[in-house]
Amino acid sequence: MEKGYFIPEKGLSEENQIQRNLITSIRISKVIDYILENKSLLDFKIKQPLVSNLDYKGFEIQTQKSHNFEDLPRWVKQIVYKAEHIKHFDLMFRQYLLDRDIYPREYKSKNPKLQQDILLDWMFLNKIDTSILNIE
Amino acid sequence: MNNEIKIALIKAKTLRDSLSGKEPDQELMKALQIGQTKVVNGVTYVVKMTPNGTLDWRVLKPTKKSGKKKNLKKIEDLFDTADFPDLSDLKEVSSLGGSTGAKLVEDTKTGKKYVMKQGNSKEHVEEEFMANAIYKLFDVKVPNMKLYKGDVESTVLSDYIPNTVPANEIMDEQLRDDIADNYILDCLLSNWDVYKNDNILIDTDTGDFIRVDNGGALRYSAQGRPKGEDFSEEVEEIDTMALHNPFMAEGLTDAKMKKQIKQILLKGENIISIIEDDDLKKKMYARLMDLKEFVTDEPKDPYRQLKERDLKRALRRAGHVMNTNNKQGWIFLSEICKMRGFDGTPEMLPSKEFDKQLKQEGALLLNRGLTGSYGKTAKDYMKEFTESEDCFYGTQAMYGAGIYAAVNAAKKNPPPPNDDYAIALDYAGFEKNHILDILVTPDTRIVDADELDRMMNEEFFGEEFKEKKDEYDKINDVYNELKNQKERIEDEIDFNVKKDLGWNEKSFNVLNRAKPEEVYADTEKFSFQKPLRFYTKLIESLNGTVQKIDKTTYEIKLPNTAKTFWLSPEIAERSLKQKNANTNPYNYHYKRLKEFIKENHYNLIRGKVADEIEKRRRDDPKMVGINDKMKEAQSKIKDLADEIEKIKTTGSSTVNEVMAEIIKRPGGTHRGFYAAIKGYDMIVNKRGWGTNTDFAVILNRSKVKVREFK
Repeated sequence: MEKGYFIPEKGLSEENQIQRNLITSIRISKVIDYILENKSLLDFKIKQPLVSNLDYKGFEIQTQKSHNFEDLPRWVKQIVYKAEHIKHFDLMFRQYLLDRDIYPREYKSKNPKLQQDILLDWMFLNKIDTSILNIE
Repeated sequence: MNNEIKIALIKAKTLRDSLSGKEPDQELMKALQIGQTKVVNGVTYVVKMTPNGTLDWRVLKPTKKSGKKKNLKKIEDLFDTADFPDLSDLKEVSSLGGSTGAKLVEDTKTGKKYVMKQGNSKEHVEEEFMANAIYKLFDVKVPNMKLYKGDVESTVLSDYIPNTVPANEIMDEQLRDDIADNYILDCLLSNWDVYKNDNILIDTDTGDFIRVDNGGALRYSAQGRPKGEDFSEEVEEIDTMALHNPFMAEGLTDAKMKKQIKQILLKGENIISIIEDDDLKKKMYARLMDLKEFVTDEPKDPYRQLKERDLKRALRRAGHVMNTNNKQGWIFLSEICKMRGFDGTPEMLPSKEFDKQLKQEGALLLNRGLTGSYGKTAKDYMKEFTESEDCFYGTQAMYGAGIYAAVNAAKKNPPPPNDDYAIALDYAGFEKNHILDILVTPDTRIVDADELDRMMNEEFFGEEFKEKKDEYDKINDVYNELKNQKERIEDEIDFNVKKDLGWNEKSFNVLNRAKPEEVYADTEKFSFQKPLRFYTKLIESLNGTVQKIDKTTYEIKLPNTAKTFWLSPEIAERSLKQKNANTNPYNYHYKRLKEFIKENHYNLIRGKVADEIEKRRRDDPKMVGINDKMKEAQSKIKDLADEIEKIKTTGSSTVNEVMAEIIKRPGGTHRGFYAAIKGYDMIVNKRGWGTNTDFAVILNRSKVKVREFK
């Protein structure tokens, strides 16, 4: 994962968002939930949470090394890229469900076979590589 | 032991404890009933529910003999049932459906129609009758009715109202507000379903709106199932019914609800007096005491210890600790801060006065940079912080939920240049006028973020955990710094090898993004010269060569490999392919060239980087040293992690529902929630941004002062 995904902020101009995305606290706070919890509806082939509760303090100290995101240690940025990757696809999938009037809670309560059918439909529709997810 | 003797012993023991200043055992107290008395040395003591929700003995104050009797209504006087028939005179007309099978019946003697209910059980229907009686006490319209109590089953007969329409079918804001005039009473009675379906009807003859089906009130659901702990001693319904009926709750203000509560409390005694069931009586008393908490006029200490019920109330209103909305930001945090009065507006000071107060020892200057969004400008947000009734606490933060600002250590804005101010300027999109200057007075309750984390660990998991976690964090820090050192060395190797071998980042991006094999696929449309020019430019940027060997062949060489690629227009002409109808056609020859470049230049360089790094890891004493120390640190980390897990499972802290949510992620956003619960005005993180700037997380907006701005 080289560069992560741009997670948009609602209500702000594109120019503003790009500028803000350079700032550590803003970039990371957009995905902090995805770093610390397995929040996604999608089951990625990535060990989650990306940062455990025990390691959070250490991670936080590293994020405070620079106000500019690009100047952070590479391994810290890698974690953020992964979280952005997860959130990007999670949000896409949630929108796909919403467009079909399926709420996340409803999706979770469906049987695994039905969940898989919905998932695969979404993936084929968006030409997403099935190997990124734990699909049997 | 005989029950009477048992009760007498319990009374004696608990009263003795109470008189000697000890809190009586609540388990024992539960065996007694509110209102029970005991005389000791000529003084009468009575069992009462205290404001804290516990049972205790209090001196029974003699009632003043005013000569007037208290005008308490009796249950039999609430309904006009003189003309109600015997059940034997009724014949069934039709079924009315509903959760427990109500029937339309007719008095065979008079022809008058009634609705007959027997509920799911005797207790259920009697409870429904009690709910209606309490509504009647407050002149809230319910059908006129009579309870026919039986040994095995009971029956409620109520006047049939023929010409009605469900309120929900014609609901508008006016009707909603009228119905919501008794919102608190509906909550007190735990009448969960009152606003649903056709449980409120409008009598089209009189215009009255009538709560006709109250079978889901008090201790039973509409289907007759006991609610159990869901009908609790706290009137949680004030929050939950608002959540489930947002339209009804829209018109409710705190002032309206307080007024309704006061009206209910005035008749509190009457409510208790008409209830026969002891358990219900006790619960209702506790619920009335809970309502009283809302309207107490005593000024509350903003830094008081919040009770468990306060935290639960805040959580109920938020739904989940992490829920946010556009008005409050983190709702849970906002509710906690509201309870403390932290959401008040800050004092605005003219510039001179601001600077004067800033000179005080212990005062801090904060700079908060703002940006416009959602159609609001930065200035709008500045005004919101200083003027709006609702304090917006934010929706995104990683160091603690709350309102962020940079601590200006110099206590002065530029000039001269100031790194702390520069951070705020960045957040303000480099607009100086979009920075709020905030004064923190010396008496502000500030907590250091690290200290706060230690407090959380100690509270949630105990002293031993806190010490182990400290140790873990120190070693983890060491490990992370070693990782950084290792990365810096590897980055240097990466840079040097790539420089030596001619890595070109711009060409790399072009190679990845451009699709010459698709763009120039059709050789009839695009002459060979176009892809040739494209690839020549790319290859020359990598210090490679493109040499024309003859009319139809070009030899392509790259600097780091002996391999050659032969580019030919004749081959290209034969190379048009298409996987299937859904994919774009492409030129296989051009695609192979692209892959040749990737493989024999970029991937080759990557391989060299990896080899060099691997070599240095083996042979460079510095790298070897770092790796060894990392292994050692990792091993210690693992051992400590195992120890910590054991301590967590055998930890001694008792946590309530709210803290259990916060424990799930001690630190980060939740730090703000914890600090507010503990009554801190502000968190300051000394490490802050970059290496020098501390940052503050403001929780108590009313405590700070703001420099006037235009």
